[in-house]
Amino acid sequence: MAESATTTGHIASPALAVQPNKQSARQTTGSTIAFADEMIIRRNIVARLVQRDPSALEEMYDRMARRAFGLAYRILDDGPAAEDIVQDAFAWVWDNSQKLDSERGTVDGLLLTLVHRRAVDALRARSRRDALPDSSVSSNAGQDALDLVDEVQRNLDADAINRAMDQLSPEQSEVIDLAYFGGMTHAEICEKTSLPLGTVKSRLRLALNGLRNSFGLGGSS
Amino acid sequence: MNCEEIRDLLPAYVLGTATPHEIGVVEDHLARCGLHEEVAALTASAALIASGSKSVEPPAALKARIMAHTAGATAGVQRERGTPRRPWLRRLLAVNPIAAVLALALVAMAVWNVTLQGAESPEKFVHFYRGQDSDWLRVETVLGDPGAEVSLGGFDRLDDSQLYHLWTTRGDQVLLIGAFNVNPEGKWAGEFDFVFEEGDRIWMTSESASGTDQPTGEAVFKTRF
Ligand SMILES: [Zn+2]
Repeated sequence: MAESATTTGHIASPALAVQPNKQSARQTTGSTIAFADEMIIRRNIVARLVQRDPSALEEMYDRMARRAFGLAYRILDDGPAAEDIVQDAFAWVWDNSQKLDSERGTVDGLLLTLVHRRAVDALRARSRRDALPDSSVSSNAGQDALDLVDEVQRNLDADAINRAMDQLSPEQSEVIDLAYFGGMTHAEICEKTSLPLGTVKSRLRLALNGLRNSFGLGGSS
Repeated sequence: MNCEEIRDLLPAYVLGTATPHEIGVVEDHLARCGLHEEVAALTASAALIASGSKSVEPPAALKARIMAHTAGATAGVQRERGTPRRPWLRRLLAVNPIAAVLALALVAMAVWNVTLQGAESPEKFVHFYRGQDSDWLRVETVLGDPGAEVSLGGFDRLDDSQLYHLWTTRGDQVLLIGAFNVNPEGKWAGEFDFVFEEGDRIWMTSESASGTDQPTGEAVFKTRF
């Protein structure tokens, strides 16, 4: 009981902070306030997921299913297979909801990561390529990364994220597409593009560092 | 390898397309080098690529299937809290047989989709298995030679009265590979002086800490060379 009271208190406070000047602020700085509202909605969802409220999963579905399905569909180009992946990812979130951090603003990043990972697994299995280990499983950076994803999504909308992607050169886009959406290893990208290994590695590195800079995630290396 | 060479491998690492060998190299390096912040920033950048893909409306039936899962699972949590792995499948079976068949197919794929690939030398095998949840197992060995490096993660830590036992089924024989407990993070890594052969089917049970040479518990996972 004490625990749920604390959680509720936590949800309520940012809402109260925003509400008093909501109306007037919306007219002048609409996007900021709209975004603050959005964060409250998300925060609510995670806290309610932790409490195993099915309506929270339904809300998350209504907001995220199109993006999740779009991602799986882009990777697999197969509707029924993409559906299975999305179902599996939502089921995972539900089955593990008691382990979610209710302080976390959103689990959107986690959901899309699950969908990506599972879709790439399915794609590789279908094309009889070896399964690849999940590096994020053993990475301490995984949690920090999810926090950074939240932070970027707080500052940039989907259009801004798309514009960052558009800034990549065609060569950089190609290797990112093959790796991220094609689930291809260095060797497989080399084979597909007939590029030398060094070129593939340096293009991926330039591309990812370019995105990192566009997302405001710090230095170039 | 120096930091610069590791930075060449980081994109594949964070995009999820690094080979087991590359992951090993990167993680060995990360264990003794302060690149974590950079890895986190690159991991986030990779994850944000997903936000750039186009939204597509899924079929309406998908939502119903997912919500059916929560109905089954809510009931299941009270009933089966604390039971080990994948009770959701049983719950799903009760709620939605079609979804359960699909889920079974996915589990079967995860269990039997076997990685068998040469690493440093043609005889050296790296076998990687990943389960339905976050459970995974990695075995690096030369088939037919003694010695295997085993690492795994994503398992519940057992209390002191129990140990995980790793077995292999070879023909009609069941052989004990070794026993251990995972750390509080659910991971374990070590070396066994065991000779693996092609076709070995690896599986794991939890058993009494006093040890046994025959498995008695239910398999936590199964995979094979
Ligand atoms: Zn270093």
